Amino acid sequence: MSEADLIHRARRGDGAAWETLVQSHQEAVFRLAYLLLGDAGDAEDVAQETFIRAFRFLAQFDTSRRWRPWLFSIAANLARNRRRAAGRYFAHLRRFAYHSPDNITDPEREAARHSNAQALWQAIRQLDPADQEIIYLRYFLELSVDETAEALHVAAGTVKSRLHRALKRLRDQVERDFPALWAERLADE
Amino acid sequence: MSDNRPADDQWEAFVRDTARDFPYPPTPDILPAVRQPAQSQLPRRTARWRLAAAVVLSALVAALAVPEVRAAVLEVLRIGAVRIFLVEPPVSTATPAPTVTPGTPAPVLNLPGETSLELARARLKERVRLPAELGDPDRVFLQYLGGPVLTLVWLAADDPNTPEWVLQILDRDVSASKEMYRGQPRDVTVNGRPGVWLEDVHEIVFYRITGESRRLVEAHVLVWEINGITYRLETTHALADALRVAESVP
Repeated sequence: MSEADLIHRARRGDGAAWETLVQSHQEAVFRLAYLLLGDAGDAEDVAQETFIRAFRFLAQFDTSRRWRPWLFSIAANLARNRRRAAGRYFAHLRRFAYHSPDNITDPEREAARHSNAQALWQAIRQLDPADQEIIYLRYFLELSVDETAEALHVAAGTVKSRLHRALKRLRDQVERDFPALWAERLADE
Repeated sequence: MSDNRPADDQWEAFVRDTARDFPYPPTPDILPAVRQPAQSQLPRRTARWRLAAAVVLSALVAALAVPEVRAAVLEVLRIGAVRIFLVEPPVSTATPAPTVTPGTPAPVLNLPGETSLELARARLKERVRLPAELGDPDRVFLQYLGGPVLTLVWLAADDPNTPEWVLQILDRDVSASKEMYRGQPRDVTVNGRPGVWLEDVHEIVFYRITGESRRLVEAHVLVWEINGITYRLETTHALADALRVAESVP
């Protein structure tokens, strides 16, 4: 059954169709939220709210389009709003963060020691939020250029030019703060 | 690195390859919180509750629905499964004592899923932790809102419609519980753990697919967390009494 069929069925109240849609995409949505927020609990909340909103607006979704970019668009918006709120109340939040067992408030500190991927993530998190989003969508979640364009509501050509600039800024960031990252790659070759 | 600076295509390939190795945390199961049939399991308020609380609740909900007010709703803190939203501006710095309409069962007594303490213990085992100060509860409710929510009620001695103490125990999987609050949360500690005291009538919301389960809380609330399990203690007693009860939870 195609994704469009599942969406049509879910609109008519078919719970099984809706569950299939959620199960097919929950991992990707959670991962995007985690990359953007760096906190598993917040990412789970955003993933839940993404599907709740998606369901509410399912009737308005154009089934000639792909569903995953649309979900990513909702998730990125929710994560963006949460990040703004978190920034405003950062001092307040920090007082409660340390005792939450699944909370990774400082993922950089935890993660960077373990792998190049985490070090790269550290570097990406220092970029502008728009650069982060496009890199996550294209390279971490492996959307095509067209899908990335749909998720960001821009033209494919804009995705290419933004990616080019974002990658350049990331390379500068890595060169400045994580020089070992590329050096290790050269040593491996 | 400048001597060995990668070319654009090398760099893009490196980013793509490296990203594939990213160690994501395990994906939680979102489905229970967003499952379509769950809407039929949402708490349903009775006609009596609607009548008693309609004026207060509709005013609060209407205020929250006004665009400029909604825009001022900001998440301020999170304790375990509970997130507390400050609704700006605070209604008043003076917080009136919570009141309950005489003769009307409090909303919490109309929760679905009433059960016995024995059955709750059979289902949740060691997660059922009673405050030694209060002993066994008079009423017990068990709901599943993404995870188990156990509600224990101790009634006032002279009124079976009025809870004197309500202890809610929220499992770590409970989905998106939110307290919409207009006052200033007060930071407290419960046996050395951070907690928050909300001193005002406010609203608690559990988010589910296509709807929200809302309950007006006509009491003060103390929220704290022990090992991933969140505790909400509702009472009209003062903070000192609430802390004494909270600290008697083993």
